Amino acid sequence: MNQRISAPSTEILREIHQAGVEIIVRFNSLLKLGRLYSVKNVLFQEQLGLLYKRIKDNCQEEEATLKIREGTFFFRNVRLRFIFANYPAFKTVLQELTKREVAVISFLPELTESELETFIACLLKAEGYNQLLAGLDEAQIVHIQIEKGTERTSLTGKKEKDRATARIYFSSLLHLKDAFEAEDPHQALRLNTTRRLMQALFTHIVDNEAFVFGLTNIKNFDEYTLNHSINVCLLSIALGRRLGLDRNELIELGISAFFHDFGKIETPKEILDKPAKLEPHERAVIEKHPYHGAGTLALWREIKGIPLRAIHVAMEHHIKEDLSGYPQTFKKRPPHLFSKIVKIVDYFDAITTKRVYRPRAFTREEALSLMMDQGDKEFHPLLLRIFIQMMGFYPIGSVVALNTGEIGLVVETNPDPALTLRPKVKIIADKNGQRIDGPVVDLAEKDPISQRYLRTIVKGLDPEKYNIRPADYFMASTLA
Amino acid sequence: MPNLKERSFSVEKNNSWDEVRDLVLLLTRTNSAFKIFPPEHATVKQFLADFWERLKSFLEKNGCLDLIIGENYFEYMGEKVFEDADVAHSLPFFFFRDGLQRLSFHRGLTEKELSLFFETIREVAFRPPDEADIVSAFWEKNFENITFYAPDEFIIEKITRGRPLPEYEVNFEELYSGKIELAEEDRKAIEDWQLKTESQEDSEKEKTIFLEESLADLKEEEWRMIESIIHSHRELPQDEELGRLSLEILYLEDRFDHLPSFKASLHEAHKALLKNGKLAKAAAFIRDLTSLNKIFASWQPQKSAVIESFLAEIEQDNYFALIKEIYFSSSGSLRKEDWLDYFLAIGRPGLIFLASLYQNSPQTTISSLDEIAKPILEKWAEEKPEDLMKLVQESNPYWSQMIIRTLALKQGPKITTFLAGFIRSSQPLLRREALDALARLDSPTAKKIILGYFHDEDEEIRVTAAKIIKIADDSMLDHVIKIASPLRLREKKEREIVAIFEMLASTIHPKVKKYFQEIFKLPWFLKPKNKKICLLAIEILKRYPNAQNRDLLKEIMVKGRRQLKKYCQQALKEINLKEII
Repeated sequence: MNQRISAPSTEILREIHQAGVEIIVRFNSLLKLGRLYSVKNVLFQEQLGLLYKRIKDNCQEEEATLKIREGTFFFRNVRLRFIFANYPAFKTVLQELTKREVAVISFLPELTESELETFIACLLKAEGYNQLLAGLDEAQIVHIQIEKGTERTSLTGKKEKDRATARIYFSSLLHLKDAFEAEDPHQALRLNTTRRLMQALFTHIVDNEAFVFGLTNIKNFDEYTLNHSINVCLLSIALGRRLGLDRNELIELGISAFFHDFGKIETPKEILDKPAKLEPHERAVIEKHPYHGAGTLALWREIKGIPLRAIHVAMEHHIKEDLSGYPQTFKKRPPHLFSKIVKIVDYFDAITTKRVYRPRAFTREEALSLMMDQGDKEFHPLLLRIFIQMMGFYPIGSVVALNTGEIGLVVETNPDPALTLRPKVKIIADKNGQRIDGPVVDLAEKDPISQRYLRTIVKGLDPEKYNIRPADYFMASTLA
Repeated sequence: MPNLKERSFSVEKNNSWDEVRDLVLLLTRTNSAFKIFPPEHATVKQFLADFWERLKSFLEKNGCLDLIIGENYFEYMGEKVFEDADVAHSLPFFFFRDGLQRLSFHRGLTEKELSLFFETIREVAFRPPDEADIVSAFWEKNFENITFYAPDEFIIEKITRGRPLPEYEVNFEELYSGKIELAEEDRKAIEDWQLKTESQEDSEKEKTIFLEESLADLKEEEWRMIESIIHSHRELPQDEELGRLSLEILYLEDRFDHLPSFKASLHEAHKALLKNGKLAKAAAFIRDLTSLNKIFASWQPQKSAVIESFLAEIEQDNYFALIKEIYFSSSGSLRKEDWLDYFLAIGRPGLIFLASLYQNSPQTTISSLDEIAKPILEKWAEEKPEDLMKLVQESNPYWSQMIIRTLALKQGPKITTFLAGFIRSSQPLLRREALDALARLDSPTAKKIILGYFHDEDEEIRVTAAKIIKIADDSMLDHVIKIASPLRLREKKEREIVAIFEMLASTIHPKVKKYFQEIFKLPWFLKPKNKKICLLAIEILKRYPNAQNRDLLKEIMVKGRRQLKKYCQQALKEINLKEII
């Protein structure tokens, strides 16, 4: 007879959650320390002891499992929700385990500290699942069991992954274009498809975030507004994820960002693309797009189930933190959280894009710096800080001059906040300035003897000045 | 010996296939049960328990049940284990049509999660085709031990519909050949750096100052602040936000051709508030809209027209159905003050809805409606009594009774005329209410109207009329005496006769005296009713021992018929005794 077990209390669930988060954080520390020092190092041993204690507390009577499902961690059947402070740890551990196709780690009650130490050492050494398994076998670890991930497809190669991400990016563009250009948007809008698209984008962000950020360097492809909207959508989902929004919220945030400029359908092209300063009456026309968009989305809401938050975002994405901005209605009130998120991303993408009226776009690092300078009047200060943390000091797609004389393109930020200045860069020109299809180098890498960094960023370069199109490098990997 | 570190498939295929066939068959049957019955139904519980037992044991043994989904089949380890070509019912097809290609159940699965899995399918299956997507639904559930795979290609195909994806062109030659000549300042920056390698750390420190400001980890209180912002936005009531946004959009919208369609949004927002029982918020929404209407009236009359049309449409049937549903399903959980607030805010439709609620309410619950209706009716009675008068319905007596009761608090010829109309009402409740109201009016006309009630078909009403009437003049008295003629009295029951006699006995007038003298002359022989009338008259005269009545009793005692004398004597004796005491 099947016995029903009563559900654990909220207090117990909270404790399990807390333990799970701590295990991830300590696991991350051990992976970092293990790369720098021997496993016998005092610091390593200290962290190991803490991790061991936490695990033991949780597997006294039965095994405790740490699972990864669809990019989400579960510990003892409790879904672990990260807060952005723990995001780097979650991201690193997820990456490390996914890279080795490990989906489940079970800790048995008889686990010893020495087994845990050996397990981490094996994990650090192993390139893939089979190698890890062999290592554990050889070391005769019996109280830690692992399971291979089954849910992922064969998209394991970087190139294949990037290609798939790029396909979704351009599909998004086409989908939005259909909605923008349709004679009858009621017919054109297929929100079910949009939702599925958002899910796909989310999955690519989880799996391949750096490349997704790289794709947001695509500018003015086809129509500015469409391209811009996709970029804003991607970065908004990524920022929302850092904030710990749940899946449904992220989908709605994505849809909201996707349609944030929908009102621009009504703005005459000659005003949108005017290569000069706008006259007051032209500016007034531009400033209608938030409520035109909101109005249209509100009409769609009933028929198509457009999320309410999308209407908020369309309406409020030009309202500043001090409640100035446009449009102004009969009552001042703070914008919705999603509008604040989209405002930050929208601003960033807009000023980093060259337009007829803005002949020189800001570089990505200049843009972040400028946004910081705007102070609390323009953006929500904490959200802005999280955005800047997410983008890194040198955001992906930044072109940088290295101390070696080489020129690099930032392709991945360093998840360790202490190493923000040391992202991974692809060398695009050698020390003589010769354009090359260079390797991707990790700027956190040190010379083993001198313990000095091998390469350091001297300064950011303006890609436009050197006719460098960062997006081309990201797309090149999918086309070659 | 199986590897201890890895829990993977170690089943013997042939045995496993048969087991999986049975398992998948049970899966589809459990799913059918979920579709036919509600989740708490015994059949569903039985199917779920059976399937769960079998699946749990399979997962314990094998770690995972990994099904590949074909158009109308499930495949397990390269072998078809289930097939159903009937697309209307086929579970594989249901998954397949939304692009689901693989479904896996993992060890660790709980019965609760499994039940949620079936409930999710059920929920999607009953959605309109346009809104149904099993992949989205599974994705949003974010199951712990059920995973699935739906390739991007499915969604890409849905978007492209055969069209090629936009092509991004990269000029590889330009990308990987040629030279980048750094500008002077950039080149110099690198050279300076290279020359001052020792100061690298200083330069990084400079940047770190920026980092500390912008990239430093948020402090605990800052995390909490962010969490609280997220939380408060999660708590934002969607219906209220929708209402607020609709008003803001209406305020700003300058595409007047959009306005007629926008009315639907106003209705949606308004209905959303009502459906959630937020009557006070719905009232505020209407009030805001009314204020906007005043602003727009001279500035943007098109918007004003939309608002007015919206307000007018509130009176429509579909709104009443909604109001009725909320009122009767809330079973008193909603505050009366909120109903009152809402009905006051919507104006005339509020009266219409209230009237309909009265009509649809069982008599036992009418009193709670009265509490809501009273202040509303009083307000209308104050501002537009004529409108209220028009809302009286013979078929809705309790509602009409409230209107009469409310209007009766006011004085004036219009009210008297209004009340007079009820003398011919088919509803005794309304005739009685109007009669009471007339009695309270300080108007001779009203008093005369009451006379009409002496002819009412309802005895109760006639008795009441007799009790409350105040005879103001001779003509009224003549009328009453006429009604109280012996001939008519004989047709009446005792209590009505008593009421009439009481009314007359308390009136000092020679005509009254004469009337009773005539009564006492009524022959008794073979006329028991006459005897009863006479004895009742003596009894009533005794109750009202004024000089006129005493004289009358004495007169009958002296001059009256023999049979009457002793009764009058007795009556006078009792009067005297009372006085002595």
